[in-house]
Amino acid sequence: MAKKGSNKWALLLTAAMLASVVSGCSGKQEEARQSEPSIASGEAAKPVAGEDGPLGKYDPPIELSAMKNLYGDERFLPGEDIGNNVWTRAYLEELGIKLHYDWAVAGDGFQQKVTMTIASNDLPDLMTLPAKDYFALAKAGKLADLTPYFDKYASDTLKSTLNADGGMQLKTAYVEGKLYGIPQTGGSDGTADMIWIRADWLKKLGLSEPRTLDDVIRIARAFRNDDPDGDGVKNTFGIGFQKDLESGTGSFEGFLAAYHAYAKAWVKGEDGKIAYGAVRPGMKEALAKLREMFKEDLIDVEFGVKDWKKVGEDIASGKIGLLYGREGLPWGTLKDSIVNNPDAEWISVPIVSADARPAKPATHVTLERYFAISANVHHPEALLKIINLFQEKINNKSTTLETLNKFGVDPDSGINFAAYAFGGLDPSVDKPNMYYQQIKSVIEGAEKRENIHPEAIRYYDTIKHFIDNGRDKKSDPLGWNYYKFLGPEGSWKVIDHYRSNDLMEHSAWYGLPTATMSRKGATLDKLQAENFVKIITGSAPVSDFDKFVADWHKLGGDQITAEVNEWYTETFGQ
Amino acid sequence: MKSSLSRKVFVVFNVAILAATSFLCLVPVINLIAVSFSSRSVVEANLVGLWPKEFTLASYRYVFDNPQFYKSLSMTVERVALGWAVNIGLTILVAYPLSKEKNVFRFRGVYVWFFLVTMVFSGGLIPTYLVVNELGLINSVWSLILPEAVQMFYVLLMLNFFRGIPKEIEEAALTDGAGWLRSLASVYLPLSLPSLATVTLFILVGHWNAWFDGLIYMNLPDRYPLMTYLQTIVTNLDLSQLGSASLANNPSLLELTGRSLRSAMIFACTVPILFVYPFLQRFFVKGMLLGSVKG
Amino acid sequence: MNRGGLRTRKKTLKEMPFHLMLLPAVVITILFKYIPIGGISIAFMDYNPVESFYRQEWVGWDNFTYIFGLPGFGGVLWNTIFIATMKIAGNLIVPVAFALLLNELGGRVFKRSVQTVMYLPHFLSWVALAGVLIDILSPSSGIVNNVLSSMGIKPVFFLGDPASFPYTLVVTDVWKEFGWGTIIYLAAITNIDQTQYEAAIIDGAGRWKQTLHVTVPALAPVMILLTVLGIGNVLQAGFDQVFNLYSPQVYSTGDILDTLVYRIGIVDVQFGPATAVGLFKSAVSFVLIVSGYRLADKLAGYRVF
Repeated sequence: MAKKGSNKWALLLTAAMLASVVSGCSGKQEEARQSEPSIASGEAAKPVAGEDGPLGKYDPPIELSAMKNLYGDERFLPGEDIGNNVWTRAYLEELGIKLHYDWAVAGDGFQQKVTMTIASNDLPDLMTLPAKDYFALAKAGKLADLTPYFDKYASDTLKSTLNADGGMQLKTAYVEGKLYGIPQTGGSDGTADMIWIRADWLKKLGLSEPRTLDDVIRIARAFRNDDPDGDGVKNTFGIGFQKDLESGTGSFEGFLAAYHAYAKAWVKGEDGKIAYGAVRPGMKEALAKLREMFKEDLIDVEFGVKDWKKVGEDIASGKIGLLYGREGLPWGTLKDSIVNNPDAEWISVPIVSADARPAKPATHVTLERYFAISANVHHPEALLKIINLFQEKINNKSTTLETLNKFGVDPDSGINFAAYAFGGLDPSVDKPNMYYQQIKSVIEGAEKRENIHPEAIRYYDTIKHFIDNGRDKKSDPLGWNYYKFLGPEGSWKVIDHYRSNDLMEHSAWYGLPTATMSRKGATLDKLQAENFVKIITGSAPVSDFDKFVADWHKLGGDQITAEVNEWYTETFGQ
Repeated sequence: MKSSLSRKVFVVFNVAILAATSFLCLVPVINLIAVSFSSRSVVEANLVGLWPKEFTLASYRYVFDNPQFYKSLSMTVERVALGWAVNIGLTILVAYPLSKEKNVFRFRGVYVWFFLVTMVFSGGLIPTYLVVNELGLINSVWSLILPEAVQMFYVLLMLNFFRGIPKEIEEAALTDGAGWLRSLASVYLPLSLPSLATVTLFILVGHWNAWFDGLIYMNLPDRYPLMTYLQTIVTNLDLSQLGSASLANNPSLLELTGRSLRSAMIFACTVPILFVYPFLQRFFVKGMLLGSVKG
Repeated sequence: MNRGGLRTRKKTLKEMPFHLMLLPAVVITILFKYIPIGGISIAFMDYNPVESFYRQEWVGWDNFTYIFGLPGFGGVLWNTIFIATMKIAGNLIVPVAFALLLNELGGRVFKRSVQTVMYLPHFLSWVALAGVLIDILSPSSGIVNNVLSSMGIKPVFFLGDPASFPYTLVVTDVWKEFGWGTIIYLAAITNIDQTQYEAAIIDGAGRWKQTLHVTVPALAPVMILLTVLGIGNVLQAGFDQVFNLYSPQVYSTGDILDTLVYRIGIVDVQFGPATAVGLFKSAVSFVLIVSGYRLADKLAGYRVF
């Protein structure tokens, strides 16, 4: 039940596109730029003049210190650094805010450095805070109350970014009815599992796409036994799984969903109560089925020691042709697979059910960080202005390609400028949903290319280029990449299918670890992981599941369930 | 001396065992190097063994094109040089008095336990940070050196080596009117070159490999030592959890996840320190004591 | 002033240089070790970094009872001790053995190359090694099992079988560190007074006897020192290694104190319990080191410090 460190890195804006794609079809790029000015010179959200607005400028400028998490791969233009770049200049020129970083740290050091900063009481003015520290500082009165400023100073773009999901993520930021910070929102649709299959193997063995779980097992059996890669050696696995219950590659979650059970999700039942997905009745059947498959040798005997990277190696080397995974797979492992073997043809299809009820993949909101401003600062609204600026440059509907290049990813240098911004956040519903729709309607001729979002235009151009060149994976693996991502056969088509048919199980809990979770969560996680793997590999009987459920409830699960329900009611009302 | 048959058999076996062991130690290193020179896709498919496949310098280009690499390298050199000077100096200054018998230095026991306690008990990260912060050492190279400046393990090693030096040699010097410090400098140190070389190796490697303190005490990545920089890049980035939207915008993240690049980073960051031992081996010369006693 | 007092004063004067030599180290140790050592009290607090150190809530032994009372704690403690003890033994014996073997090598270039190559694995991180080990130790395609099965031994799932997992940890750890460990002994060997060998040869000792009667006794102080310090590590089973190699399949024999604390911290960072475990480990370590020191003094008549 630990919130997976999933979107640890995912803040990353939403602006521009892959530099190498651009270099791959730079002609198109130029064209796109030239056809832009009509919008560029248009009403690109000129800020309201004067100090009193979402983008009002301070005169004379005010000075603010800040702290920031980095990704470790930041690159800078010559002479620039984290304290001197396009964003810090924009803060000064457009907002009259002189921002300097007390510190910025990459990777896992962030949490440590935050703890040290808090312990030594050296808080900077602007803060990026892990959830727990945000709540602790808010309760201790160290953060400015933004409630009186939000309506007036949060720009319309920021409000729509935060409210895309009905404001669910924003609501978590309230402490005793007051708003002390802005959550780093992001979409959760991308966490839904889907099935990835080698279509060339299906075709070779005369199989069709799976509609039911039995189909999946039939395919796994054929992939294991009927030599799909045609090398005469039994060296392919039936279906790819890895050691963690929840992961983006070789995930169990999508399989378990066939039985309406979930390894890590909190599911809201018909009675309105939230319950842990792993103790639902379907889980026993699901584990029994996995156990059968393991016994039948459809699953790698070593899955229990392999992590997603090791399973990725089996995919890239053509040993696995069927697995549950997320929308991002074409970016890594699957692309390696088609580069190594251009005959490989990957398709993504919705997950399937074991019975008549449709299967719903679980989705998870990851709220890891909040942006806040110190209670000692005279202009608490400055935080909102800085966050607004990111929204205007990157997420505003009328932003231009030019702005995206300057403040997002620069196609020429490949530098991701947006990573230098303070308080960058994505809409709480994934933008690829919209891009998929827009690109689809342009391809179908229902919409004009220049009417869609500038970022979508870039993706469209790459995809169009790939289609027009005969879908040649070998010469254009990146085009394939985008095609499988946002194209008419892309992974977002599957998510679109989930969305339009209400087929997602949004995990209901995404708050701070509750009191009992803190004390007993690790024990329960171990209990679950150990029991499940033993049942699957046959070293414990299936009936042990009932014992696990009883133990889980007894060892703190009941308390945790009560606390989760309490959190939900407190945060969202009924 | 004529070697017996059993001796010959032993020598053959000995060479065989050591050669086989060396091979076992070399294999993963060769694999690492082969991977660093191979293209991403074959590496991710785990197809590279002991020789590069689809040879490419792309990973090394990425490593050496980043100015941060050179900033971090110079930071590391600075900390290793200063850190060595401080560590070895303090090690000698502590080990020498403590190597004396109780009848020569009555308080040695008190000092030994005073230092020994800190070898086992530690207040933890937060209070240490607070002290470093109070002393204004944050972001300074001294924050990487002073907190661990007294290494009791090195002291104990040195102390035991000092004890191995026959007392008669020092006594001769002392009766000639030399003080303790003179005796240390003119008798003990010259005779301790192999042990000093050993402790030097430990210190250099220790400072070179330390990464966590850099992460905590340095405010900006500009000042990260090499291994801290490596660590922030090689951290287990779970690509499978990343959304496409993030990847579309951060192409370099994708590259970073490649084992080829990580191997190149590891190799580039480790090679310099690997040369230290072969260099120091010249000090591992037998017969030093022999000469001095006779002379 | 009587003569005894004079002698004492003279002695104090003579010892003065010793105190001065120790002074810088004492100052640094007080600053960076003894002042922060108060942080140990976090083990008895419900520590919240937002509040100042003096305004924390004291919880007595709660953090200890919490950790010791976790279901399965006994098993985890046993795993830790079992794995750590075998590692301590392996990491003491193997380096000495290899130092002696290396000492018997004739050719200087070959000898130095072997030494250098053997210490390479020390520089590889467990993160990087984990992937390689999974391949090499694979029960289906790994080279180790291929060799075993060619000798008629059934394949062993080294990393996935709870029965063999602890031994896999020990062997791979010894392999990674033994070369590094030989360095100390090689240095000690060069420190040996060569006249002792000459005397032994005159007494008619062969190479084997020389090793047994000259080299090994000369290495004894270092061996005793490393043993005494080593037994202090009986609760250090090696977090990095275990964390990168274990899986739920082998929790029953492979989960150790440090991985347990790590997983607790993943759910929620808790300073109190983490510090409590640290203090527990330190206390055990201290007791063992002191006992080892006394024992070595009694049995071997050698005080290591």
